[in-house]
Amino acid sequence: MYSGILVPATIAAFQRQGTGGFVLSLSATDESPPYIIDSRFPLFQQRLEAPKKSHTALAELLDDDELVLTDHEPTPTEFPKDRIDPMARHWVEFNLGYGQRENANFDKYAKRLGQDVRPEQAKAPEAILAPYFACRDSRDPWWERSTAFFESTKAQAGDVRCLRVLCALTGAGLDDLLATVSEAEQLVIWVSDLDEHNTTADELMSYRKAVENGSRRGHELFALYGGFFSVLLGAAGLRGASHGIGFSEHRSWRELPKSGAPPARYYLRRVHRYVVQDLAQVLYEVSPAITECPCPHCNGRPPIALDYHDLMKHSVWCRDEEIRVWHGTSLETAGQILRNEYEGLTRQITTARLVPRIRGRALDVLQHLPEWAAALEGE
Amino acid sequence: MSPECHALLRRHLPDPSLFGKGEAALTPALLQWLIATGRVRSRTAVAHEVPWLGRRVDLALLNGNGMTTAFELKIGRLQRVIEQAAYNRASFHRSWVVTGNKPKPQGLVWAQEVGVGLLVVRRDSVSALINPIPREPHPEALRRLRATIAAKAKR
Repeated sequence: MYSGILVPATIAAFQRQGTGGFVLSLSATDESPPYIIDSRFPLFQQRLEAPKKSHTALAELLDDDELVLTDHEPTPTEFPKDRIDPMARHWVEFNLGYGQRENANFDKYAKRLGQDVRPEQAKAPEAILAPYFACRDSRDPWWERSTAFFESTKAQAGDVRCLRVLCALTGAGLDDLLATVSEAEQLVIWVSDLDEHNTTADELMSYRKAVENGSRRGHELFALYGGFFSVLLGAAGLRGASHGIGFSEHRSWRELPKSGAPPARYYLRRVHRYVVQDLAQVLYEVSPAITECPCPHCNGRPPIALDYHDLMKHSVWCRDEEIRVWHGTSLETAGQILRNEYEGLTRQITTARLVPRIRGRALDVLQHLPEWAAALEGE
Repeated sequence: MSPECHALLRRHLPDPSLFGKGEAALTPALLQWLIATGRVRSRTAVAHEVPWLGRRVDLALLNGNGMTTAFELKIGRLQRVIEQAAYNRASFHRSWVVTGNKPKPQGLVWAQEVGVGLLVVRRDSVSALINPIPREPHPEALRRLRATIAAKAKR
């Protein structure tokens, strides 16, 4: 099981002291969790109507002022090799130097950790995640540029491990991209906008099959985004996923410019998704068993009692529990459990005394369960 | 209305023209009624658009005894606003729906079912068709809510 930290490059670039202090002090502990930095490069694959400071900070880090385009959508031809190479070099230098850079906030975070950690114990990223573009499939001209970025980053990283990111627009597109990687590799995958809770069973099944096919070819796949459905895909060969707990279990590459603070929501264990806190409380009042949670952060309290930090800690605890408990569960068994849960909860909500609008909302939060079951069981 | 009540109204409604559009147009008559019926007194904190659990409560009161009341305002269809008011019951002592139209019988049934009060505002007159069922909220939610209302009322 993989456990580590994924740091968005926008934050790493813009908040070098704050984020750096946090990540580096953690890396200096005895546990020393590994970390990698995601370039978030598809940010620059589009026109940025209102660029943020973090966007320009990342462009500066890559030493390319033309990356932030406010007047037009860039085309693949705007990224020739002689532009990609220097950006790859700056990216490698940034990664290699990340663990060594002096950090004013190191002591602040080290103190919070309550351990005697020193800046010289800080580690560099576990591997360099090469910059990449979002691609429809392998015939998309962006794919050639994405491959060039990886090759250039790898060449300049020397002995340091370098990973490529395959960002596709659909599950079928991902399957196609995976098929072009001839040698077995550790690969990072991302199907843009694959919202596990609002995607059809067919699209989820196509994602599952891409993972199965890639895994069969010997690739070790790690998803850049994913929720509980990705946990279940462990049985299909997915080695891990970055859960972005609390704010981004999925992401569209077009929405990269709009990232922000996570909203306060309650993670409903039995349906494996976030719901608004009000609705979670209604479900608790229908039956406390619906929101029952053994975590120390809930501590037997109803959803309404949890404050923002409790909500976050509860959701992290739940995801950890899901990974531990469901790891090794076959796709068929997982599908059957989800179906049973859907049927039981639907019965409970349908027979509860709720006004129609609230009942409709409560039933809506279950609708992904049969879709997931079908996607896991389908041939 | 007594001079004290007028002073209270001026404090909480210094410029009625700010409440001229949409649901907000119900606010001046509602505040007059709240003051006239003793629901808003000198120690009552009155806060508009209170951020709560990721949404906004149209009007919230916190009285000198720590009792909290929520009001959700709506001109048209009731279903949505009854849903909001029903959610408010979990953290407020009392929860009201305030509407500009006479509700259909089904709307009254829903409001009664979820235990929220229903006020109808027609021009300057306010009638309480249903009284809310009071409820003791969870103490931790209540503590956070009181602080939120008090902070918003001060601004």
